[in-house]
Amino acid sequence: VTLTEMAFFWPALAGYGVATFLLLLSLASRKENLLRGGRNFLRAAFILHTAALALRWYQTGHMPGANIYELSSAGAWCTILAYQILLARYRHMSFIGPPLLLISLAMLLQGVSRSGSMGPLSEEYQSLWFYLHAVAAFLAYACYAIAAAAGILILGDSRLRPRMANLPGPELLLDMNSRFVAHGFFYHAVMLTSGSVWADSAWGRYWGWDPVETWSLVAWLLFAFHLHSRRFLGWNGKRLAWLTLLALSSVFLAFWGVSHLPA
Amino acid sequence: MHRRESETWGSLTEDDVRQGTAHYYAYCEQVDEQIGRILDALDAGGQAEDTFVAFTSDHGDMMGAHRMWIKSWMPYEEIYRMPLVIRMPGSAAGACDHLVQTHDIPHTFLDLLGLPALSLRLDKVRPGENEGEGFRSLFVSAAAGKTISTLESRPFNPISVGGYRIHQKEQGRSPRLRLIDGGGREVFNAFVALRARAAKEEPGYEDFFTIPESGYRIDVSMGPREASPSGVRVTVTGPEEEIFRGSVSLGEPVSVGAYTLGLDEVRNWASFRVVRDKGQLPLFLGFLLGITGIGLRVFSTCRWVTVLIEPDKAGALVTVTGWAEREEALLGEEIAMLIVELKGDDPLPLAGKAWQGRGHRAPRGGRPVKAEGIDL
Repeated sequence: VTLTEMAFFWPALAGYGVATFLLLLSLASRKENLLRGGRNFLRAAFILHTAALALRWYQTGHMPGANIYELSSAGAWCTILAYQILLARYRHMSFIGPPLLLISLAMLLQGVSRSGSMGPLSEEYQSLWFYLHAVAAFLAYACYAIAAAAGILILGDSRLRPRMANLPGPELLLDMNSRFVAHGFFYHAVMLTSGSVWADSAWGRYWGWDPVETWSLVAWLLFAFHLHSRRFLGWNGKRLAWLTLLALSSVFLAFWGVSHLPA
Repeated sequence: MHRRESETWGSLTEDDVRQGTAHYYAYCEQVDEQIGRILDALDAGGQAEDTFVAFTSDHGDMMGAHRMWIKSWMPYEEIYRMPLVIRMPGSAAGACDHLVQTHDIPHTFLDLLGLPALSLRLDKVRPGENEGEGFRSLFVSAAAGKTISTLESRPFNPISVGGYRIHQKEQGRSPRLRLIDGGGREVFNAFVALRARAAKEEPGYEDFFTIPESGYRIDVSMGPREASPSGVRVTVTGPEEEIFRGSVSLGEPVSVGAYTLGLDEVRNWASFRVVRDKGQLPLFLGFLLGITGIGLRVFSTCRWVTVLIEPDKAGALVTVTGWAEREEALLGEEIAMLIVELKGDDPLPLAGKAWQGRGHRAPRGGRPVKAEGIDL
C-alpha cells in the first residue's frame, strides 16, 4: 500500500469514525446540527475513500478486489454508497447509519490489517468474469450490511425507542430488512453463477467445494430461508433479525474467517 | 542381431543360468506377493467389488531360450507372449484366445466403464524456463498418433482442441531417489512427485514418503524451478528421532542411518484436466434463466399509487393513496417523501400524516385532476 493512497485512506477512516460518533450523538440528543455534521463528515470521508480506491485502481491497473484489503475497502465503499442513496430516498435513514458504519469500519480495519500488497492481477483473475463476480459480490454484501443494520435496530428496538423519537417503526425496519436481503440475494446469485462460470473457464470445473465456495453457498441458502420464512412460516421481527445476522456471519466466514480457521 | 545377442550371453556358465533362473522365480514370487497386498487392500477397503484389476507387462523374458536373456531385441514368442489377467467384479473365470495388445487395455477399460474412447493424447509437454510460466509446448495428437495441434498452455488459460478443453492443473518437480540398505539391497528407487508449496509460503516444492520396513519418513524439498536442480533438501526421521537433515546432490549419495540415499536425476511433472463438456450451453442458459427469475421476483413488485388533488378554499387538498403487494411500510415511506417534495419542505424532520389508507387497495380509475394552476 503506497503512502499517497494511505494519505487518503486513513483520513477517510477517521472521517467515517467521526461521522458514526456524530450520528450516534444526534440520534440520542435529537439535535439537527449534529445530524448535519455527521452527514457532512460522511460525505467528505466518502470522497476521500473514493480517491483512495481510484488511486489504487490507477496504480494497480485493475479494479480493486485482488486481495482482502482491496475487497474490504471496495465492499465498504459500496455499502456506504448504498447508504447515501438510502438517505436521499427515505426519511429516518440516519438510524441505519451507526450500525451500518460500524460494520463498514470493521470491514475496513480488518482489511487494512492484512497484507495489501499491490501488483498486477494474477493469471486466474485476468478474466471478465472476475469483474462481474466481484462487482456482484460488493453489491450483495452492501445490501446484506444494510439488512443487518436494520436487523440490529429491530433487536434493539425496545431499548432504543424510548430514547429516539424518530426511530422508524418496526414494520418499516422489517421491510428494509426483507427488501435488502432480497436484493442481496439476487446479487449473491449473480456472484455464485458468474464465479462458477469463471471457475469452469479457469480450472475446468464449475464447483470445487472449497471453504469459500461452500460458506458462500451456505450464506445464500440461509438468506433464501430468510426470504421464505417471512412469507411462508410467518416469522417476524426478532427471529428474522437474528437470521440475518447469522447469515451475514456466514458471509464473513466465507470471506474473512476461512483463512483463520484450521483446514 | 541374433548372432550378436547369442554371443553376448554365450559365455554364461550353467551356474549363472541356474542363478538367473532362481532370481527370476524369486522376482515372480515377490511380484505375486505385492499384487496380493494390493488385492488384500482392495478387499479391506471394500473396493474389491467395484474395481477392475489388470495384471500385465510390456514384455516377457528370454530366460535362456535361443541362448538369450532378458527382453532382447529379437521377435521371439518368449518376448511377445506376456500375461494379461483381468479381474472384473461379477465376471466368471475364463480364458480368451484372441490376439490382444497392450494398447487395447485403456480402450477396454474405458469401454467397461461406459466412457467414450480416447481420441487425443498429450505429448511432449515442456515446462517454461521460469517459475509460474507454465508449459511452452503441448503437442496434442489424435489417437492415430498424428500431431494435430501444437499449443501453449498456461495455468488458468485452457486450450481448446478437438472438442476438448485442456486445463493445466498442477506442476512440480520429481527427483528420483534411491535408498540402499547395508547389504546392498535396494529398498526404494522411484521418482517422488513434489508439489508446489502453497502460494503464501516460500516458493518451492515438497513432499514426503515413508519406508514401511524401517519406519523412516523422508521429507524432500526443492527450490523454485529456475534454481539449479543439482540437489534436493532431505530430512530423514526415524521412528524416534531425526536421523539426517541436509542436501543430497546428483550422483553423490549420503549415508542416512543404516542406509545410503542417492539422487539419480530430476524431472518435471504436470497434471492436466481434460474436459469434454457438452452440457455447457444448457447450463449457462439455466443460469441465465434462474438469475432472470430471481431478478423478476426481487425487483418487480405490484404497487398501486393514486394521487388525488382536489381544489379547496386554501388552494388544493392532495391525497396520496397506495397499495403494495409486499413491503407496504416501505411504500408508505416513499409516499411520505413524495408528499414532502410536493410541499417543498425540508425532509428532515418531517411532519408525518401524509400517508393515508395504508394497506388498502387504492380506488381504481380515480378522477384525473390537472395540477396546473393549483397553488400547493
